[in-house]
Amino acid sequence: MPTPGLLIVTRRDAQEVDGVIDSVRKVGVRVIRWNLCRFPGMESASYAVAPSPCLSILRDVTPSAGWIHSFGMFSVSGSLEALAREVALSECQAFTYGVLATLPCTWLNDINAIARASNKLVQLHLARTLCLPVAPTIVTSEWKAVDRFRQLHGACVVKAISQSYWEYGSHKLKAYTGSLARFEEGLPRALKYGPIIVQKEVNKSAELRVTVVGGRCFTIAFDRSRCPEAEIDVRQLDYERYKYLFTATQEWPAVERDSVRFVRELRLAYAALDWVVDHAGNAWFLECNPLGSFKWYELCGASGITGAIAEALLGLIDRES
Amino acid sequence: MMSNSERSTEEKDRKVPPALLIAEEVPPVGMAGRYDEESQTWSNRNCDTAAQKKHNEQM
Repeated sequence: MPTPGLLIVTRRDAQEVDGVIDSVRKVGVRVIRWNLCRFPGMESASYAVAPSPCLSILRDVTPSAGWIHSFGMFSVSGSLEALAREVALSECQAFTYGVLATLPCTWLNDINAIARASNKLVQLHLARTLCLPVAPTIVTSEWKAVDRFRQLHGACVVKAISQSYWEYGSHKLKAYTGSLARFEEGLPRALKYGPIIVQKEVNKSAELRVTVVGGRCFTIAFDRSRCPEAEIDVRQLDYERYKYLFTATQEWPAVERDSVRFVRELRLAYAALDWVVDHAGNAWFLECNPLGSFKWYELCGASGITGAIAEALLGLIDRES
Repeated sequence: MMSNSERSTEEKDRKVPPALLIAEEVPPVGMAGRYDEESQTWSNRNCDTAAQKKHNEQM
């Protein structure tokens, strides 16, 4: 009987993957870790079409299961600039998509499911379809529409659509959720170059991160009411300083049920969902990240995520063997 | 690092899409011992905080 194999697609500095790798290796699974940040400059890869799709980095391992943990950036994102960079990235992305879409292994989260689930318009539409509570939202490139929306709903926040983190050379940029009022000056002009999400602001008393693995939920609450830096995006916090405000909770079973329902509709087995709780105690859906990181939340008390992912991956391997 | 509120009018008039308008540079490595969720790393690998130790122990 051949040794079972697992392919993990990630980035080199993603330390949270290591715990999962240790767990599956303990039971004899051979793990191939493909760090996309090293491709193609530092690690090359070849894809053979016939007789069945084959990737050179797998060597003699035939993975029956796979985990797309993180895409990170390809090596060319730092070594090239301008048009050459855009073209190289496009080629690398197309190569990687083709490989991951055709390799004959069962994924924890399939590449197509990840692509669909990552789109915020798809998320907002699905949330509405499933009757999840979503604050009034508009996605637009029209300043007049923004103006009408804020007159109707009052204070609003703005968010990026595609992603919220970019690397370009030595630059690392994050698009934080911010008050619309802060960007009024530049936004009408910027809208000529792309759309943006505008959402009615929810006065938050708490934020919830629900990490779903299979049917299990690991929920961490961030007590915003006790945070002196009340206005900022939670990602801007000094995590160390405010770690005491992040605690594991089981007080939101309805949110957890909705999160599992949402994740299943997107045909995912793993995802991290963000919710906010208003001062009346109502939870509002914010977004879903099929590649969301989990280690920080484990450190805050949501113990067992690493083990649950390892179990889910081993379950996929067993199913295929 | 310049915050959005400190940006000059000239900067706000640049030809940028809204996503870049609301984006901010994150601290370069070595500026603070913070855990960065997006890149899943500690921004200062040499900083020896209790959380980093625990993080590394659990790896």
